[in-house]
Amino acid sequence: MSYQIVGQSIPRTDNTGKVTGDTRYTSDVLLPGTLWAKTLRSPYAHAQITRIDTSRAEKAPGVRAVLTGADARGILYGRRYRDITVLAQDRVRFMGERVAAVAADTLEEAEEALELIEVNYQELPAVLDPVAALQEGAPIIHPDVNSYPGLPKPLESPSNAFVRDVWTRGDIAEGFARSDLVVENTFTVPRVHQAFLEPHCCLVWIDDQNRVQMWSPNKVPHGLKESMSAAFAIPAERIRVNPVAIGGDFGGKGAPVDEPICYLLALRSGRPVKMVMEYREEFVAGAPRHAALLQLKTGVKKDGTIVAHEMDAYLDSGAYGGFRPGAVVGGIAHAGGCYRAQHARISVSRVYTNNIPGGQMRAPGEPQGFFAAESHMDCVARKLGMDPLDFRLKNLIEEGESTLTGGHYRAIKAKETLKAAAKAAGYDTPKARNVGRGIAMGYRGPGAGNTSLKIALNPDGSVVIQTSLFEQGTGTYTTLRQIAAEELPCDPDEIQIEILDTDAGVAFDSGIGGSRGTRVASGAAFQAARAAKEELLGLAEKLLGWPKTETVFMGRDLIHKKTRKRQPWDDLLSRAGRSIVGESVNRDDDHSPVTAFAAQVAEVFVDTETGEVKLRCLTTAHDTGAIMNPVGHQGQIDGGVVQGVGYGLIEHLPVQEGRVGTAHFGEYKIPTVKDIPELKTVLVKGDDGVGPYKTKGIGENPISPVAPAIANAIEDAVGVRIRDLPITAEKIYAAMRER
Amino acid sequence: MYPAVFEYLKPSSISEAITLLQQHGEDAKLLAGGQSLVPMMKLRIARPRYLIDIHRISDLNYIREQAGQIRCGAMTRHVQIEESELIRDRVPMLCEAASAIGDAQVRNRGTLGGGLVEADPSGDYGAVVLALNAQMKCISPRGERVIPAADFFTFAYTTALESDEILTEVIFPFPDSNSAGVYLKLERVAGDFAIAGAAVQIGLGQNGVCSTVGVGVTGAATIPQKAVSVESLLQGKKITPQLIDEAGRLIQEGAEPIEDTRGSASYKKKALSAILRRAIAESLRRAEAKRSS
Ligand SMILES: Cc1cc2nc3c(=O)[nH]c(=O)nc-3n(C[C@H](O)[C@H](O)[C@H](O)COP(=O)(O)OP(=O)(O)OC[C@H]3O[C@@H](n4cnc5c(N)ncnc54)[C@H](O)[C@@H]3O)c2cc1C
Repeated sequence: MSYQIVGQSIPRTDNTGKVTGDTRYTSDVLLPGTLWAKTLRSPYAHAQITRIDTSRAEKAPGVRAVLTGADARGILYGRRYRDITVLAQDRVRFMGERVAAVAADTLEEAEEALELIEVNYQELPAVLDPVAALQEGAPIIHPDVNSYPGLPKPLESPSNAFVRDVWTRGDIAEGFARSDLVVENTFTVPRVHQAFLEPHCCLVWIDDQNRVQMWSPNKVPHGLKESMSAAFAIPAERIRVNPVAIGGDFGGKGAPVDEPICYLLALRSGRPVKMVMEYREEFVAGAPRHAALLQLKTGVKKDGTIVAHEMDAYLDSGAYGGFRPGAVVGGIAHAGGCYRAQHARISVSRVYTNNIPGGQMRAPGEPQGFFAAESHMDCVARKLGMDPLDFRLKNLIEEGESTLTGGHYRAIKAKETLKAAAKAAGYDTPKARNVGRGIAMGYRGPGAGNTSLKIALNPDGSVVIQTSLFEQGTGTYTTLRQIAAEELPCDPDEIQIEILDTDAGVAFDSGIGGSRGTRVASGAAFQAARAAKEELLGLAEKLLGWPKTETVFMGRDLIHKKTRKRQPWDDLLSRAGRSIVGESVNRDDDHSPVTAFAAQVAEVFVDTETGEVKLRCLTTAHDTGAIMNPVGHQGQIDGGVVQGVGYGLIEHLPVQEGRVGTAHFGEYKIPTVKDIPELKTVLVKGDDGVGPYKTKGIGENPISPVAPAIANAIEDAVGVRIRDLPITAEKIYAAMRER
Repeated sequence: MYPAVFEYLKPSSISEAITLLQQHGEDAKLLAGGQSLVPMMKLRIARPRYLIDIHRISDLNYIREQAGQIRCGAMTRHVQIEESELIRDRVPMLCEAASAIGDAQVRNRGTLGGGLVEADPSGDYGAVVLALNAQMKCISPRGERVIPAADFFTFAYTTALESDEILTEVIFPFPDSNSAGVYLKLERVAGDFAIAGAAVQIGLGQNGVCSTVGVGVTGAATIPQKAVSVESLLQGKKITPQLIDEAGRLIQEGAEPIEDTRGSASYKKKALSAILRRAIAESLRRAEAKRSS
């Protein structure tokens, strides 16, 4: 199929406003009488609150409301699994947990009042890593876990491992017994922050009709509405989430964070209440990517055939689990393998600890899982004396086979993608001393979901897309305009976007995430555009006597093919005295029938005197369907790779004894352009995919293979294996000296 | 967090600034580019009641050549140093240090004086002023004085300045014309503070022996260090790979780095040794290239 507008690199519609400052973010919204809120956070990882005295704070200048745990008894919130308390209930479970909250006329007054709150604590033994948390006799962080709404499977007895999923195939013990060689490795990965520019923030107001009006940079506004409704037992129709731009998401802007406490403060004070997290608070309590420990064990035949493959992943969930959409972290499991093995066992546990709670970040679970799995694959290949490329090619799944966690897909292009990456990277070409190349793979299918969308053609000639999606920075609105422009067809620049708030009466919308936008919303835009066109042609038939089959839509006009007569369609609508609205409710809920593979090759130079790694080149190959907007697609690839470089070499939220050791971006480092080498992209284009244009997702895949490709390249360069992220110069230096 | 409440003062001359400092004593802080001070105020580690902004004082921002010296006003921005032809020509290591600081935003606002007075143990300018034997010109109610770089840094984040004293100028004597220098830095990520840094200026005599030498290092201790032991090791000798290794050993033995997110003390020692050896080799290479051209 060839298209006119779909597939073109048309510029993003949201760019200009972001550069000029016109774009309205949550913190720009101010209502008359707005109060500012701040919260007092726990200085202990695990402690009993023995006394809170807020009397001085209540009398402080400008203070309108002071709340403690006693004002939020029995309330639990979360995205779907609900285990988070609005304010600590007699016990704090992590350093940074909210203990009390203040709303005051000014931010300064709120801050001053916090200093007047007195809290006494009695420290409790803390559990600070998932392994310790699973030990017998470890303090149980949530004794009431079985009563929490949304817990996927009831636990036999309260345990810190509140989610445990296992996939098995064959007989793993027999598999290892039949192997010629068994290789085991343990990997650890740290927490990393999404590093979006806009911290979590919100404004909550209970209006004159007793409705809860919310402004929040949440990419799943309908989900936020449902979470609030469930937490506070308020009817959903009493809640409205108003549209705002999202100042960066990277997966992290889907959960309620400040909204519940602001709601309670608004209720108490009768005023709109606003809260903007400081970045210091983001780092100590912002729901970063989970830290994890992963154990892998693989049995192979001498010829390199994988016989048995086992992975046990333990995600450090921190003190609460509700910041993720589901209690389960699917991605980490599927990182267990795109390789064939007759016998397999993959298990993933999410474990409570007294650390900062983990949340959601780009490709949740996958960077952790693929770092471990793809590093491990190289270790196995090296033990066998096989080239890691050949070892992968021998074992990668092919058409008709399923992944170790049961993912079944058509048109599998794992090997083709890997070969394309190796070729473009010159994988086999000679290398200088201390230069190495490493490979890693990833795969992921586009996410599913629901969306409602309308396209209106109006008598004033405007074309308006009404969507409940909030632009979160990936260019969704641009894609929607391309589709409407393609299908009508008309000039994409003339299409306006109108954002429907959660009052618009549309069905639940899954929002943005998991590369679902391009799949689900594209389908909706396609259907709505076609429906609008169909109805307009029907109107033309009625009013002009042009048979539908003889009429085409062209920009601002309808054209009667036979007579070549033109009629501006807005005239027609004026005559009819109404707009035409094409509507679609797209429920595209099924597990994707396709997946997309990524293969990357990192080339590094290691300075053996300091351990410093110079990433010299990173080649990334992606198996794609149709590409809606090449510039946007490449932007996702480059951005993902850069974030992957940060994960591999630079970023981590150091947490010691429960204390996060970074307070600002002067300490929490992310890559800048100077850290990024030449990036090469290879697209292995195909014609299979999902949705009307047959697309695959690109938002997630680029990030996951970067860290293992770098780790593998480092071993290729200097013979040391780093099993703990980020790979710092010091770790390499130490490993080289230990040899 | 936002800074605690403060009063903003904006003197238009050095003497006015000094009067204000005198008036408010420990309650006041000078504001240069704000690149260190403002973040500290936001974290409320610094809580000055009075902020004396010295931006408006016009005679604090200049780069001048004068009587065999380069004189830089304390308010000279990192970016101006980075882009100065005069400095690139005469003391390239100062350009190299300036361009290794932070990112473009920090270099646009941050100042030479602020960087030196902040005295961050991992800051870049300290090593350079020590290697080049620069002098710090300061003014206080008691008049003017010049503090040699070697006496300037007293402890982490602390200098020999009195609380009512302003650093007005940094004076860099021209290095010998037969000498060349370099500043090298090892960092976790581009624009971060140094894990280790070394500034080395080497002059070569007729016979190819080291006739003059200045060495400053950062990351060796709580303050930047003038590596006197390395200087006397190299002085008057032909610099061979063995001698360079010996210098590396010396610096490593004497170093007592602070352990932080950038590395353990033991790693930082080794990294410093590697960076210093490289800096010696590079300035030697540059000096030789100068001699043969
Ligand atoms: C993100 C980031 C990265 C950075 N990276 C580096 C780096 O890699 N290497 C590096 O060396 N530095 C780095 N810095 C620090 C930078 O060099 C700053 O310029 C420096 O710390 C001082 O800042 P400033 O000039 O803005 O002075 P200010 O922050 O305004 O002042 C700093 C201190 O010096 C005092 N002061 C300033 N001027 C005078 C004066 N003339 N007389 C007396 N006292 C004075 C102030 O009162 C204050 O106490 C970084 C800073 C940031 C924010």
